Amino acid sequence: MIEFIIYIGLATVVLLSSLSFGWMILQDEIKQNVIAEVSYNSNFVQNKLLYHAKRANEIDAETTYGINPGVFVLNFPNTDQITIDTYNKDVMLGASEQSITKLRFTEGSDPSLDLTSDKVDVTNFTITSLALPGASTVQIELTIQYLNPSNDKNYEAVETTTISLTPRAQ
Amino acid sequence: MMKFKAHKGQNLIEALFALSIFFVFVVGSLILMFRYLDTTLKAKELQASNTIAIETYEALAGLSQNSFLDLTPGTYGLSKTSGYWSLDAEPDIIKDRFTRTVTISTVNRDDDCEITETGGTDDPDSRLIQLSIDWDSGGHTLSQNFNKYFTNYSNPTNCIVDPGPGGQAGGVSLNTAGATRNEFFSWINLLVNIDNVFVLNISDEPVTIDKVQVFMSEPTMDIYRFKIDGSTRWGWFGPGSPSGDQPSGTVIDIADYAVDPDDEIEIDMSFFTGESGPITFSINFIMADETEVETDEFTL
Repeated sequence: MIEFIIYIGLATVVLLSSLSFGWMILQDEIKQNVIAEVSYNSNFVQNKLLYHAKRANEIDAETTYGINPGVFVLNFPNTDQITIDTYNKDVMLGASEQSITKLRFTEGSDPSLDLTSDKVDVTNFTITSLALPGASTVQIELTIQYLNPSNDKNYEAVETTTISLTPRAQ
Repeated sequence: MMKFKAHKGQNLIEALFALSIFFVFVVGSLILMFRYLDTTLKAKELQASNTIAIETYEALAGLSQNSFLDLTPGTYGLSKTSGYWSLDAEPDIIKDRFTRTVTISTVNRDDDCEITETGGTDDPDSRLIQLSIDWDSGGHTLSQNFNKYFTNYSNPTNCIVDPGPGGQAGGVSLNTAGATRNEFFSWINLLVNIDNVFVLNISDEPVTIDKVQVFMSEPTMDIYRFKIDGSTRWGWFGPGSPSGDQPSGTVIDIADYAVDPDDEIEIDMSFFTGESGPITFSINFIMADETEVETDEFTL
C-alpha cells in the first residue's frame, strides 16, 4: 500500500513537471515570436529610413519636427519625393476590432506601402532636427509595440530605437 | 510450473532510477533553455550596439559634411546637448549602459593616392574613425569595434579629385546632334569624313581621353584618322596605335588628350568605305581612369 502511494506520488510529480515544462516551452515560444515580430518591424523601418536618407539630397520642408506622429519627407536629385508617415487602421483581433497606427511609405504619386505589419502598433514616430549649417541631420525616435489589448504578459513586447540620419547627396 | 519469487522494494528502486533519469532530462532541458535565453539576450545587446554604431556614423557624417576639419584626430564621445551632434572630450554613456568611444586617426596615402598603413603622407582629406562600444553583460564586459574611413569628397584639398559620378567618364557630356558627313571619291575608294561630334567637360576637374572605339554599321568601313580640335590624335601611319586602317570596334590608343573643365572639344573622323548609303556610328571614349562613356548611335 505504501509503495503504491509512493508510485502515485512519483507519477504525479513526473506528470506535473512534464506539463509545467511543456507549458513553459509553449509560453516561451509565444514570447519569442512576439519579440521577433516587433524586432523585425523595427529593423525593417530602420533599414528603409537609412537606405533612402543616404540617397536623398535634402529633407523636405514638409517634414514635421517634435510631433508624434511625425511626417518625414525626403527629396532626391533624380527620383520622386518619398514620404514616410503614419495612418490609423482598424484590425480584427479575435472577435474585437482594434485601431492601430501603422507606418507607411509613399514614393511620388504611387500608392502607399505599409512599413509595419498589422500585429504591431507604432506608438512613437518623432523626428527631431539636429541640423548643422552644412548638414541636415535628423534623429528619429521609433517605438513599436506588439498589439496586446488584454495586457497579457506573454504578448508584451516593445522596442524603442533612436536613429540619426544625414542625407548624403548635396 | 514456474514459481515467481517476490523481490521486495525492487520496483521502487526501478521507479526511483527512472525518476532520476527523468530529472536529468528536465535539468538538461532547462539548462539548454536558459542558454538559449542568454543567447537571445546577447543577440539583443549586439543589435543595440549595432544601432548605436549606425547612429554614431550618421552623426559623424553630418559633422564631416558641415566641416571636415572638425574631425580632428583624438579620442572622443558624442553629445547632442547643443541641439546638434558634436564631439565630446570624454567617451559618453548611452542608456546608462553602453560606453561609446570614438577615435579619429589620420590616414596616409601613397604616391598613387591609395591608402597605405606604412609610409605615405598624411592626407588631410581622409580620416579613419574607429568606434568602440563597451557594455556590461552579466558581470562580463563585452565590446564591439567598428572602423570606417571618412573622405572629404565634397571639398578635397589633396590628391583626391572629384571625378563626378562614374569617374572621368561621368564628367563629360557628348553631343552628336550636329554631326555632319562629307564624302568624296579618291582613286582608291570612297572617303567619308564625320565631323562636329562634341565632347564637353562638365566636371570640376580635367578629364583625359586615353583611347577610343569607333563603331560603324558598315562592315567594309575602316577608320584611318581620328582628330581632336583639328589635331590628328591617331592615324593609320601614326600617331597612336595600332597602325593601319582599323575596322569597327577596334580599341584605338590615341595620343592622350586632356579636356579642362567647361572646355568643349570637336571630334572629326575619317573612314575608307566601299558603300555610299547611310551608316550608323557610335564612339566609345575610354578615359585615363579606365571609365568609359559612349555616344548614342547616330546615322549619317
